[in-house]
Amino acid sequence: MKRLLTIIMVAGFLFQPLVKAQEADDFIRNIDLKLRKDKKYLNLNFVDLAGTEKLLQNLNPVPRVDGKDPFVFKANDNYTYRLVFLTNAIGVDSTVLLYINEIIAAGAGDSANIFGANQAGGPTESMVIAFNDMHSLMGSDYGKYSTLVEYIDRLQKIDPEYKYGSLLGITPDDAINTSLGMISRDNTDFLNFMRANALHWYPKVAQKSSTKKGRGAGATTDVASSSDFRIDAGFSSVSFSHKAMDFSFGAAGVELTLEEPVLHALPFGNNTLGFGFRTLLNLAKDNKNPNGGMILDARLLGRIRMNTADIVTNLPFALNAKSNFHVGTSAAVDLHVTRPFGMPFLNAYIAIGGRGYSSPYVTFNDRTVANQKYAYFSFTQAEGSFSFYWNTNDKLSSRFRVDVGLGYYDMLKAYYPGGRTTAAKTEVVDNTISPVVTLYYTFAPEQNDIFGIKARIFDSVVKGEAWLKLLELDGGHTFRFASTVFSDPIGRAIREWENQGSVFFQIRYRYGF
Amino acid sequence: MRKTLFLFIAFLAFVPSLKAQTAGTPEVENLKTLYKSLEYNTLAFDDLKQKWMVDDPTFIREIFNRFVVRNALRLDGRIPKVDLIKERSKLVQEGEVTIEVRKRYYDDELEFFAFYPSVEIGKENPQALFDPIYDGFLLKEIVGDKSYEKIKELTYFYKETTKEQVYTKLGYNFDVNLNLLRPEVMFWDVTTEGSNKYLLSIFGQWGSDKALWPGWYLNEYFAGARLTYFKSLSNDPDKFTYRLSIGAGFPSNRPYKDKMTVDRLWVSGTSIYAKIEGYPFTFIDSDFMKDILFSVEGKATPIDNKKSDYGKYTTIQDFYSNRTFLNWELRKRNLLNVFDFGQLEVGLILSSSDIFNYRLDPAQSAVIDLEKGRKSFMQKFNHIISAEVGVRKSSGLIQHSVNIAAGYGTDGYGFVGLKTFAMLSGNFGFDAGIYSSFSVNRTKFPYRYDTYIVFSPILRINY
Repeated sequence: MKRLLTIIMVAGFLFQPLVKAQEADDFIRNIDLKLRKDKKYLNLNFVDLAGTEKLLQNLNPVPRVDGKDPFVFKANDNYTYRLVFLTNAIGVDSTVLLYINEIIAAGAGDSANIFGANQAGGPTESMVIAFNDMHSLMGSDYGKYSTLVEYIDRLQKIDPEYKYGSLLGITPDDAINTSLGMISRDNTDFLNFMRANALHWYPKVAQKSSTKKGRGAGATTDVASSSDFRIDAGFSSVSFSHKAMDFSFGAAGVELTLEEPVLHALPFGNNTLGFGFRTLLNLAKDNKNPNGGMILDARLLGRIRMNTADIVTNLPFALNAKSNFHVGTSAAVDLHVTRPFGMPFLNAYIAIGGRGYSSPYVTFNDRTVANQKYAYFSFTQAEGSFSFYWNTNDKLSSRFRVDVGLGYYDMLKAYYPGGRTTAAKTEVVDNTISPVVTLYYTFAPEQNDIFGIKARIFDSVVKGEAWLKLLELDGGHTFRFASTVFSDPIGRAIREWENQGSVFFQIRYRYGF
Repeated sequence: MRKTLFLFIAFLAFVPSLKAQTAGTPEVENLKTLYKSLEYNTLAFDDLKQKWMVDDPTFIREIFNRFVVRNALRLDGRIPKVDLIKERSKLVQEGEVTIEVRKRYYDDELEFFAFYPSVEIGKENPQALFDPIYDGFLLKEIVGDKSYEKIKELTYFYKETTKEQVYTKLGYNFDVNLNLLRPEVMFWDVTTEGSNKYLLSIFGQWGSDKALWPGWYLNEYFAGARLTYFKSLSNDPDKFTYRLSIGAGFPSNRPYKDKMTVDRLWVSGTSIYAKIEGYPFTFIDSDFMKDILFSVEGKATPIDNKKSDYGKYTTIQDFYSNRTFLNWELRKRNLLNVFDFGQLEVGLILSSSDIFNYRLDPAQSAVIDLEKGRKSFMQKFNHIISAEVGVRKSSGLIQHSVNIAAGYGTDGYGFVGLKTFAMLSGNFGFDAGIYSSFSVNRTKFPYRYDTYIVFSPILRINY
C-alpha cells in the first residue's frame, strides 16, 4: 500500500510541471492566434528597422522553436523589420516584445517568393519571429531580447515626443458618444435652425467645430461662399435676397406672405397680403467666431386688405379651409435676438392695424336681428417667447427647439344692419392672452436638412407644420413638400370666427440657401 | 528513515500542486496578464456592451460539441477529466445550460463567451460550467467560422440583456418644465463664487394643495418670477439652498366642463403671491438637520375687483371667494432608503385660508360682503393641519415622489389624499393628486367638494 502511495506521489511530482506547461502552452497558442488574426483591437505599437541596422545584424542568428531554423536578419535596405510590442497596459510594467515581421519592399523579393504574396507588386509582410519564438528567446537568450527592448525604450527616453507606430485598427476618437445631448454656447443652434426652417437666407458658415457638451467655449468658423441670389417660394409666401443686398455686418431681403403667425388661420385665411423687408444684423460681431456675437433678425411687414376668403375655399391644396375673420390693413414687426443679456434667444412679434370695418369680405347673418349681418376683425396680434435649443448628440443631426411665451390677440365683432357696408356697432368678443408653447424638431444628418416638424399650442388650438425635402438638383435647387394643419380647439367650444380642423399643402422651392 | 523519505516525497508532490491550483506559476500568470492586455481596453464600457444569452438548446448542443471535438474545454486553465466533461454534458443534454455572449464595444467581434448552468443565471457571481473564452478569434478557431457568425447573427432563441444607459442629470443652462399645475422656465443663471449658482425663472402655480384648493379648484393661477440659489451645484433639483418666488394671481378657468353642483370660488380681486423655502439648518453640523426643508407661502388680495370687472349680470349672484391663505411647512427629507424605491420623507403643514361670501346685485353699485358684521376677519379663516408621508427619488430612469396626505381643519372637516409625481428620464411624466374630504357639511360649506382630482402631463427639457 505504502509503495502504491509512493508511486502516485512521485508521479504527481513528476507530472506537475507538465500540467503547468499545458496552461502556458495554451496561453502562448492563444496569444499567437490573437496576434495573427485580430486586425482591429490590438493596442500594440511597432518600430520599423532597416535590415542593414547594425543593431539587428549584431543579433544574428536568432534561435527559433518548433524545429524552425534560426532566423537571420538580412542586411539589405529592401528589408524592413517591424518590432511589435506591448507597452502601457494594466499589469504590464515594462515593454514586452511580442513578434517581428519582415517587410520586403515591392519588387525586391528574392527568388523564394516570386510566386508568393507579392505578385500584385506591393510589399510583402510576414511574421518571421513569432510570439512563441520571442517568448522562448526571453528565456534562452535574454541578452538579445533585452537589446531590442532597450532600443525601443530608448527612443522615447531620448525624444519624449517620439511616437511609436500603432496597430490599433479602431478609432475611438471618432466614436466618442455623449449620452445627454448638447447645446451650443454660441449662435450655432439658432443659425442651424434658421437655415433649415426660416423663410429668409442666413449666411452659411463652414463649421470646423463650434460646440461643446454643456458649458464650453465656441470655436473657429469660416464663412462659406453662397449663390448670387436666394429665393424661397411656395404657395403661401415668397422671399428673395441678392448678394447686392448683403452688407458688412448683415444682410437684407424682401418677402410676400399670405400667412398670419398668431391667429388660428391657414395661409390665405386672414384676408390680407403682407409684404416686407427683412434685415439681419450682427450687432456685436465676433471676428474670431462668426457664430458668436449678438444677432438681430428683424422683419418689417405691411399688410393690406385682400379678399383671400374666396381663394382659400377653392384651393385644391387647402382642405376644410375657410376664412371667417379679417386682420385688416396693418403693420407688423418680427424680431429674433440671440441671447440678449445672457438670457435665452428672444422672439417678439407685434402687428397693429387701423380699425377699418368697412366692406367686409366674410359676413354672417345675425339670427337675433333681421336683415343684419356681422363680421369679425382682429387688429392686434402679439407674441413674445424665449427659445431653447438642444441637440441629441454632437453630430447635430437631431435638433430640437422649444419656444415658451405668451401670445395675444383681440377679436372684434362689427354689425351691418340693412345691407350697410359700414359698421353700425362694434364690440370686443375676445381679448385673449394665452401661454404659447412651440416644439420644433429638425432632422439634418451631415448638415443636410431633410425633415422638419413643428407643433404649436396656443389658446387651446394645436397648429402643426411639417416639411420634407423632396429633391435636390445640381446647383442647389431644392424642392420641399410642406403642410400646415390646425386642430379643433381642445377643451373648449369652437368660436364662430375660428376654422375647424383644416389642412394646407404646398411645394416649396428653395435656391441659394 | 523510510518514513521521513515518504513524507518528504509527499511534501514535494502535493505542495506545488496546491499552489498551482490557486495562483499558477509566475510564467502562467504573466502570460495570462499579457493575453488580457493585448486589446484596446474598454473596461469603462463593459456594462454597456451588447450582451445576450443563447437559449436555444439545439444550438447550444452544437456549439458545446465543437468544444468537445476540439478538446477546448478548460477548467481552471486545465483540461478537465473525461468523467467531468461527461457529467456536465448531461446538463447540456437536458437543456439546462445557457451561453452568455458579449460583443466588443467598438466593433462586431465577440469578447466573452461562457457556458452557464441555468440555475446560475441571476446569481450575483454565477459559476460557469467551464472556463469562459475571452477572445472571439479563439472562439472562432474552436467552433468554426460559420458557427461563430451564427452566434453573432442572433437568428436563434436568445435573451437580450444589453444594458441601456440612463442618466438623469440636472443641467443649469436652461430648464423648461411644462407642467400645467406648476410650470417653470429657468432663463438665466450665474455663478458668483465657487460652485454656487443663482437661477432666475418664471414660474406658475395652479391653486394651493396645502389649503385643499388643488389646481383648478381655486380658479386662480399664480405666476411670477423665482430666484433659486444653490450654495453648491447639485444633481438633486430639490437640494437648493433657498428659493424665493414672487408673483400675482390671475383668474383661471377649468380644462373641462363640470356639472356645477358645487359653488365655484370666484376671484374677487388682484392678489399677490409669495413663497420662500429653504434649508435653514444647514449651519448645524448634523446630517439630520441639513435635510429639513422649511417653507412659507402666502397669498393676499390687496386690490378689490370693481363691479364691472365681474362682467354683465342681470340677476343677483351670490358667490364665495378666497382672498388670503398662508401655508407653513416643515419637511424632513432623506429619512431612510425604502427598498431602493426612494428616500422616506415626512412633512407637517399648517394652512390658514379665508372664504368670503359676496353678493353681486345689479341694483347695487358695489359688491356686498354678506358676512359683514357677522364674522370678523379672523373668523373667516379655516385652519388645516395636515401631515404627509412619502418617498422621493430624484435619480435613475424614473424619478418619482409619492406622498400620502391627511389633514383636519377647524371648520370641522378633514381630508385624506395621495399626491404623486413621476418622470421618465427627466423628460416625460405626470403630476397628479387626489383628495377625498370627509365630514363636510355641504350646507355650511357649499364650495367644498367631496373629491378633488388634479392631473397634468409633464414635458421637461433641462440642459
